[in-house]
Amino acid sequence: MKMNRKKAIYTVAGIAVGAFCLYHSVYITSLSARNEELMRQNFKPEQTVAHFWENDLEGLLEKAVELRTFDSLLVRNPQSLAQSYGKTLGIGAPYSIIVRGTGTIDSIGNERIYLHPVSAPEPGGKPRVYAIQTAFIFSNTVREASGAFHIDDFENTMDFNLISAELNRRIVEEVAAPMAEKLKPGEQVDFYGAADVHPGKAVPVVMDVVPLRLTVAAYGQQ
Amino acid sequence: MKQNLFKLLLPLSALFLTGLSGCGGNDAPEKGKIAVVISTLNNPWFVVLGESAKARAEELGYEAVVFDSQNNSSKETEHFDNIIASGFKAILFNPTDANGSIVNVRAAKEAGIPVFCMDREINARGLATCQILSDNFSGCVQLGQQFVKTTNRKGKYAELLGLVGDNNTWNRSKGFHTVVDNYPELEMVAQQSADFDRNKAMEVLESILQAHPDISAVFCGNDAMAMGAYQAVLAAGKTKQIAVFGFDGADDVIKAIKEGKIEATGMQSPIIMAKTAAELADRYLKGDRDFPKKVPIAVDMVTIDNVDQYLQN
Repeated sequence: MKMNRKKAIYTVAGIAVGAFCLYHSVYITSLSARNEELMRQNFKPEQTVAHFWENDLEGLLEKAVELRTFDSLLVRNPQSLAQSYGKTLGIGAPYSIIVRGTGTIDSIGNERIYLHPVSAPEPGGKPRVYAIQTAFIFSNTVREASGAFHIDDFENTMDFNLISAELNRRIVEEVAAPMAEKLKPGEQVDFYGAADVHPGKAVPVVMDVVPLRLTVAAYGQQ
Repeated sequence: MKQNLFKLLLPLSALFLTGLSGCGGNDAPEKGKIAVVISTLNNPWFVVLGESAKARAEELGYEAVVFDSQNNSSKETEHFDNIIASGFKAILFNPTDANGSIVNVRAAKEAGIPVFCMDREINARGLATCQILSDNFSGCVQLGQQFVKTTNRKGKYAELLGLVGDNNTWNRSKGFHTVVDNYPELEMVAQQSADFDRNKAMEVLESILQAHPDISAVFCGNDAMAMGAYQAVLAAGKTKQIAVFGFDGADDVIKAIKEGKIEATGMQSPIIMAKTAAELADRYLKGDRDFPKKVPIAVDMVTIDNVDQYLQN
């Protein structure tokens, strides 16, 4: 009887130790999380983007094309606008351009600040509106417009893509979101940003601008 | 004396033969052979890629031969061994594995044969002469935005990944998640690989549907898997409930979008990639070395709103 009890205790203890070892020897994670972790071990987009942000951004903004010039060329000669001021990647991608301007806020949505039109609409057309993106920025617009990042310098395209993701994250957190909370319709905003131009396609009625710097006269600061 | 005469006649006869070969009108033998190595010809998209590369290389005056690696790195290595031994001038290459194929590209480079990667990249710099790739990440960012719109920013969904060793699999998945992960009410309940294969995708989604019958969408890393996923959705009688997304721009998926069966896909351009690779190889063989190491090709999103412009007559 005593022997049986001892055996049972050993068995239960054995199972407990076995279960403990098994639990700590197997680690389950999703494939994408594992892959992302491996990639991040090799490449740190935060460092590359921080270097650009702290050292090169200021010089880049000095090269921005003025909004009225941008808007005028966009309608009259988008090819010339793209060739003169734009940067593109590979085949078939848009041209990305650094632009600066001032506009009066017409309305504020969840993801964009809409400005009053800067020019009269074409006969029979709708007025073109510039919209400053304040959330959910996913494009490569800033990466390409900056001309600071070259695909050949990266080990693989994923690393290159992570640059866009990090730039966009930083823009939302440091430029767009803090200002979006303070702005009101009717205020005037000075902005530097980046926009995409597709010379072969129709000019959009709403032109998205990814902000790089936003300043409102009432606040006098970024 | 006889020996001297032989020595004199030998170069003359060689000159004569060279002259004859030049009179043939077809300069293919003079330009040489180009190898087109494709990861698998079991997928119509890759057939288009291979055939387009072959056709353009032939238009440019080369003899072109297509090799099928059957998604097998060892088979691919055998092809490279044969290609190097057979005196091909260039290789238009669609790798089976971003890491596993490096050794083959290195062998070709050491043998002095330029390699032009198409659609899939290798994880090494300085080996391939040029890599012509779809911008998978940006294409899937667009699809992610459409996904969010279609699902109204909420609900459960599944993701079918392609080959785990292929960078395209992760570029697509990462592009998609860059968008979708910003919406906390969208919950991924399953993420499994179906190896870019239609039948596997059907089986995988069938088993996912048993565990999660309430998903409202499935994102697939290519169109073959999207078609397999759609078959599983159809068999489960959930075509009204589950939206299927693909990537590639295959003909059958474009038709399926028109018929309302598939929600959206990313239109890659296998023909542009193949032509660009063949033309760069031609430029390289003519002595040009001034081109980028990587050439991304933009991907357009196809939905019911613009499908008509992609439907083939």
